[in-house]
Order: sequence, then C-alpha cells, then structure tokens
Amino acid sequence: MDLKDRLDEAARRHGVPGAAIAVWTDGELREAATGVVNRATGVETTPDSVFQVGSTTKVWTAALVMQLVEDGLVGLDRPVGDHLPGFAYGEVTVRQLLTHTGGFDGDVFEDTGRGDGCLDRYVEHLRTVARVHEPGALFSYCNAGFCVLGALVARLRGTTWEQAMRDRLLGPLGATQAALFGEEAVLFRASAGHVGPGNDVYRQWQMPRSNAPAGSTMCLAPRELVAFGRALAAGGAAPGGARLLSAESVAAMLTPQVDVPGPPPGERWGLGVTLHDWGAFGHDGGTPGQSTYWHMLPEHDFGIAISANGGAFDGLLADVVRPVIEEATGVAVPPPPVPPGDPRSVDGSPYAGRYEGPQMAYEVTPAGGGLDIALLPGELMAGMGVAPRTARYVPLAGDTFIATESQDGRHETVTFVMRDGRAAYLHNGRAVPRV
Amino acid sequence: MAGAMDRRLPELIAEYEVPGSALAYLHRGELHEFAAGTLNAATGVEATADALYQIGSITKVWTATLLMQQIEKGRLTLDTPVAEVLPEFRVADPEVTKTVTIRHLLSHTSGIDGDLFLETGRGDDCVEKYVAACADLAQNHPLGVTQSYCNSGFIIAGRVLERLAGKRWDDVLREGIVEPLGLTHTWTLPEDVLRFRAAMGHIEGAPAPQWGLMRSAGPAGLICARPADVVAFARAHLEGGLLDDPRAMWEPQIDIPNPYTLGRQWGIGWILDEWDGHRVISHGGNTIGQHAMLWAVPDTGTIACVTANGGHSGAFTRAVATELFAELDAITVPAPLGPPETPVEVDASRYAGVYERAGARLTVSLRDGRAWLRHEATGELAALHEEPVEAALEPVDDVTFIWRPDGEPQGTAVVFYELSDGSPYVHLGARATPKTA
Repeated sequence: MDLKDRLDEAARRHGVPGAAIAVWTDGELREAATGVVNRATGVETTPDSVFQVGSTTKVWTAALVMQLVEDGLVGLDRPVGDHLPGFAYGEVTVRQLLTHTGGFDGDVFEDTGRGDGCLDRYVEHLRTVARVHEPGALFSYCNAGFCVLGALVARLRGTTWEQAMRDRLLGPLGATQAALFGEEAVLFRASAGHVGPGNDVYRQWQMPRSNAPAGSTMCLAPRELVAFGRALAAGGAAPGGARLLSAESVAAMLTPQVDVPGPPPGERWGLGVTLHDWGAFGHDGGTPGQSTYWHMLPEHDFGIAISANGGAFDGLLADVVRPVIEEATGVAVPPPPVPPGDPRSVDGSPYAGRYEGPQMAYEVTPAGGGLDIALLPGELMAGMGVAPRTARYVPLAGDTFIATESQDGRHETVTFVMRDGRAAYLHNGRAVPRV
Repeated sequence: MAGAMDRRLPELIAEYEVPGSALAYLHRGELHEFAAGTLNAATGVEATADALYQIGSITKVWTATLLMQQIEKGRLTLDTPVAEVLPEFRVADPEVTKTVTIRHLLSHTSGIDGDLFLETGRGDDCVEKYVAACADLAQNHPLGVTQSYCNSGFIIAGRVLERLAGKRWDDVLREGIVEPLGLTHTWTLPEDVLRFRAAMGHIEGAPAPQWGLMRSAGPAGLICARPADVVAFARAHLEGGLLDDPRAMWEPQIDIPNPYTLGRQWGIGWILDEWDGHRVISHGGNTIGQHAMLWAVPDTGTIACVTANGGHSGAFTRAVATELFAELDAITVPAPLGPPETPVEVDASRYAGVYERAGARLTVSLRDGRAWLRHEATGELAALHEEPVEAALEPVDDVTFIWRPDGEPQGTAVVFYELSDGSPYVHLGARATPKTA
C-alpha cells in the first residue's frame, strides 16, 4: 500500500490529528504526511512540517559530547564535576550520564527561564533533587543527566547548547527543517501537541528551555532525523559528505553499555542511543501531545522517522511503522508484549508498597495472584491529561508484570528490581524507589 | 458594505505586492473581518482573519495605556520623573537623567536618542539590561522642546511598568489589557504565538531573514495580534473598558514639526490627526517585513486595523484606509503630500549644512540650482544599512520639501524649522535632527 494511504488510514483509525513520516529505503527517501499540524488553526501537515522530536534530541546531545571527547576536551570516564563544579552529583562520569546510570532523579523539568543562563541555573537546581541509586548501578532514564551534558557542551564550547547544535550538527548535516527556538519554529508549519480525550491543543506550545538538551525544544521534519540516522549508520559522515563524528565515536555510541531492566527481548543502551537485538538503533521522543519514533537498521540501509501530534501513537507504530520495516527489510519487529492467556499466580507481598518518583507515585497492592498498581500523577502529568488510575497487573516473566487492560493500544509493563528478595525499585524505564 | 473589502482586499494586495493581509474594522458597533493571501511564501499557509501579525509600534499605545492605568491608580503621574521609579536610570545628560518624566517618554519629547536596538538576550531580564545600556544615550534635542520618535523611551517606560508591578512587561500587558478585554489572539513570545497561525515578514517578495525583533524591544513593539484584537483594544479607548478617562491620552502634548508623515500632534502614545474635519487617533508599526496600522475616529466610532506582511505595505494600508473610510463614514483621507503641480521657487541655501543625531547624518547641499539631501547611517547602524541615499529636495513651501530617492514609490516630507531658541532643525521620518555644521 502507498505510504500516504497507509498513514492517512492509520491516523484516522487512531485519532491522530496530524503526522509526518520519512523512510529511507532502496537508496531513496520516501515521505508522507497526513492531517493538520494544529486542530485549532487547521493548517495541513506537509512532509516538511516540523514536529517536536522530544528525546530523540538526546542522541544529538550525545553526538555533541562525543565531539568533545574527540577534541580531547572531556574523557568518557571522567567525573562531570571536573568541568561543571556547580553540579551536585559531580562524581558521576560522562559515560554514566550518556547511559542513564547517573543515579539521581531524572524527571526534573524546572523552568529556569528563556535566557542563555538557563542550563547553568538548571544544573544549580539539581542540588535539590534526590539520589535514586549509586552511580553506575542501574539504568534509570534520566532527562536531567542530558541537560547536564548539554550544559557541559555549552561550557566547553563557550557558547549555548543551541549554537553548538547549529554549528556542529544541524549546519554540517544540511538540516533546513529544524528549529531550536520558538522564533525559528514559527518560520515553518510547526506542529502543536494535542492532549486528552478531545485532542485539544496543549496549552503550552513548548516546554522549558532548561530541558532543551534532553529534548524539550527541538523541532524537526522527519527527514532530518533520517539524515542524522544515516550519518550515524555510515560511521559519522553526513549524507552530504560532512563528517559529524569519527567512526570510533559512532562505534562507541552503538556499543551496548547497559541493559534496561525488563522482559526479554530487552532493550539495551549505547552512549545516548537505544539498541535493539533485532538490529536497530534509534530513540523515541515525546513532548506533551507529540510523539516521535526514529529507528535505523544499518545492515539494511534502512531508516524510519515518524512524528505525530496526538491520538494513539502506538496505533501508528502497529499499522504503519512495523509493517513498513518488515516489508522493506524482512526484519520482524517484536510487537509490544501482551498479557499471557493463563497467567501464573504469584505471592505479591515482596512487591507491595509505595514507590515515589519526582513526577509519579505508585501504590502496589497484591491482588488476585498479581498486583493492583495505582498510578498517582503529580501536577505536571495531571496537566498533560494523565488521570489517577488503578490497573490490574499479572506476572509476565521473572519480576515483570503486565497490565491486563491496554492503554492507547499498549499493555504497560513494570519490572521490579529486587534486593534480598524484596523489591527495591519499580522500574518502567525509570527506577522508582520504594519509600 | 462587507462585500466591498471581500472583493477589494485581494485586489489591493495584488496591486501593492503584499503577500498576505488581514483587516478588521468596527462600524456602527459591528465587527467585520477579512483576510487575503498567504502568511508565509515559504510554507504557503493561507492568511486567515485570526492569524497573528506583528503589530510593531502599535504596541506603544498599549504600553502607554498600561502606564495610564498606573497613573489612574495613583501610583505615579504623567509628570513623575522616571528616576523616581527607577533610581538606577541614567542617560548621557545628567540633567535629563534627573528630570525626564513619563509624559516625555510617552509623547516622544524626551530628546533621548530613540534608535537603540540592542540584543540583550531572550531572558526575562532583557528590558532591565536594555535600560542599563541607555546610560550612554545622547540627546537628539533638549528635553521637552520638540518631538522626535523615540523607541528607547517606550522601552524605558516598559521598565517603569515592570518595576511598579514587580513583573515582566509581558505579564503586565496580559493582566492589564489582554485578560480584562478577553483577547484570545494577542501574545508577545514566539512560543505562545506558535499555537496560532502567524504571519512571516517578507522583504522583496521572499521571507525575511528572521521572524522577529530582539526581545528587549518588547514594550516598544513586540505584540503579535489578530486585527480584531487590536480593534477591541482601540474600542476600549473610545467606549471604555481599560481606563476611567481614555480621552486623557488624546490630549495633544506636542505639535509634530513635520505634520505630513504620521499626523499633526502627539498625545500620550496616540498620534493625533484630522481627516476631513474628523479627529483621528492612530498608530502604525513596522517590524522585519511586517507592517500594521490602527485608526480610530472617535466621532463616528469607526475603528480599523489592517496588517501586511511585505510588499509596498505603507502605500497599501493607506489605500485600504482611503477606500474604507470613504465608504463607511464618507471621510476623505488626505492624500500624502507631494510636490505642488506648479513648481515653487524657494531659496534653500539657508538650509545647507550638516544635521546630525545618534545614528544618522543628513547633509543638505546646493547643486545645479537645487537643494539635495543625503542621508547616511552612522555609528553601529552604519554597518546594517546600505549605502548613503541622496535625492533632490522638491520645494512645497518655504520650509517644506519632498524627498524621493530613486525607486521609492512615494516621497518623504521634509520640514526645516527652528526651536524657540533659534537653533535650526530638520524633521523627517518622525525624527528631529539638529544642524551641527
């Protein structure tokens, strides 16, 4: 089926206001777009429309850090505090930040203003956040760590993170459909996030600049993510020929560094990059009401990036992304797990308790041979349309449990990290400590 | 009535090579809205009536209104010295530092060099930093004696508001005007503008190199709004809603020495003019490739705001006003001043010489029996501007000339005059420039 027809149909089926996709396959770029960038304005999405690409930005920030390594300005295994004396977790290494193993609260979205000093102030603010685990002990997705890395890039390059991005990645890559500030995004058809059952335009178009290196601000057309992915797949040379990174740097980024706790087939992380055992690397991204999926299969000279601005993004992954990957490469992308038909029954008492993170809290209660998990969103999550809810989870594998009901087409899983026979953390990408 | 502009707006944008425009007007209590063209030639997004345009210096009337709100609350008066609210305030002249008042700032009579455009960052301290940088600003003219368009004065006024409220100018604007009037399409920061359709400026038919001005210019010119919101703002000045006595802002504060360009007098924020026997209060705005005009006729209650994102935008908005007010109120909008049909003989030799203010040098010379005016940017502005421009001065009367450089569709009125102490000045482009040699 034609890419555009497929996208149109899936968007309609899954309540997606607008989406754009770019696919690199058979040595050429295919693009399609559907719907509108903003339901309130009715401006139509085009393939060159820009979307907030969220945490896919982390791979770009990682590349800027690897350029620092290449230039001898930092060592991967040196403490970050050597360069950022104001950083409260200064003993954490550059590598630990790149691999989400720094061990401090990661979901810190403090707004430290629009000005160029925002990252330095953000690093100062991290004095107030909690330690979650010993550095290096565990993967726990850490936005804050990438903001620190952005501050490191800015400090060592003597400029802002944004200017370093322009000068050292977006410019050499030849990315035209790219914006790092609102005053740049306004030049384009720029997507707005839509949230809640009514798919309403989110009240705040952009998240604070303090989180820019972790993904709060960058807007790209999908083709620019594909171009960057091709540069990584090619060992660091942009499609236009400019060298962004050395082959050694790219190899290090794509070498597994840490396992993400979870059911098999587990994800692993390189330096800033998600690695899958089915032969893909890439990253996902999300901002309030916007979602991006970006994966490269270098052995097949294949890459895909898709962004959408509301509705059920998982539906686009199921109906567009996985079929397109499989048809082009023959690689079967494992679908998200589903609950077993006849789940085993376990003693839930080692998992019971309350777990608290900076944006979410969880109450875990044994129930029916599985667990009832109450999700208690904090203010930010509530504002993004996340409602408090309690869901039944059944055992999936090991210490991983899966929700019996699906949420936007996906059954959520949680994995408990055990210490001495008792859960120490509830892990759903983030390690949430028991309190 | 509505039909005329439905048809005419698309024709007029074509005639004046304007990429996109929106028009809103209030007539006999009813709002009419129109749009034509594209917001951005690069994206091709169609113009709609609810798209946001940069209204530029029309913002100055909003900032003036916010100060009048503080004055009505008794926080200060028009004659309160700026230094009383901002003890740290400095300009180059120590006497002006001490004595310049809110009234001077809001009527463009402070004499402070008005054309400092300074990038002080994206942060919330941008206005504060700008005002700190005013310490070196020289005088175009002595305090209070004439009028010279002053952007910096309105940024200083914005800082006065920030100090009084303990908030950003953007927040003072929201709380003082935007929220009380329920304006849904009026914003200052690009990350807010992005939730709406927004116009991009065009220069010579292509999208401008950047979208907006530096944030420090906020109180002098950074509002983005749809025309209907601007009309609603002006309506509150005619019918109430923001101030107990909005008419205080139409009290003439100073005669504009050159009455042929923007209007005859300046009030508080507002430019005051007379069309066909009717008082008109107005303001215009220009940013990077965007232009907007706002006119209100108090005795008919008619208000219009029109925007344009490029092309011959000044001539375009004048054409819209001319057609609109003729049809709505049978008011003839005066044509721009041009050279008389029968040339007049004027001895311009007494005007020959050099006129200088910060950022500009004007040289009047006599050649081939005619007077010529050469305009060159100086100082930091010199790097940004093209070559100096020279053209003949066509006399209109003893003191008034038309200056039309090659390629300009319309001439600019130039008026030579003297202050009460006899010092010679020239006034053009709304600015006063003293003779220095």
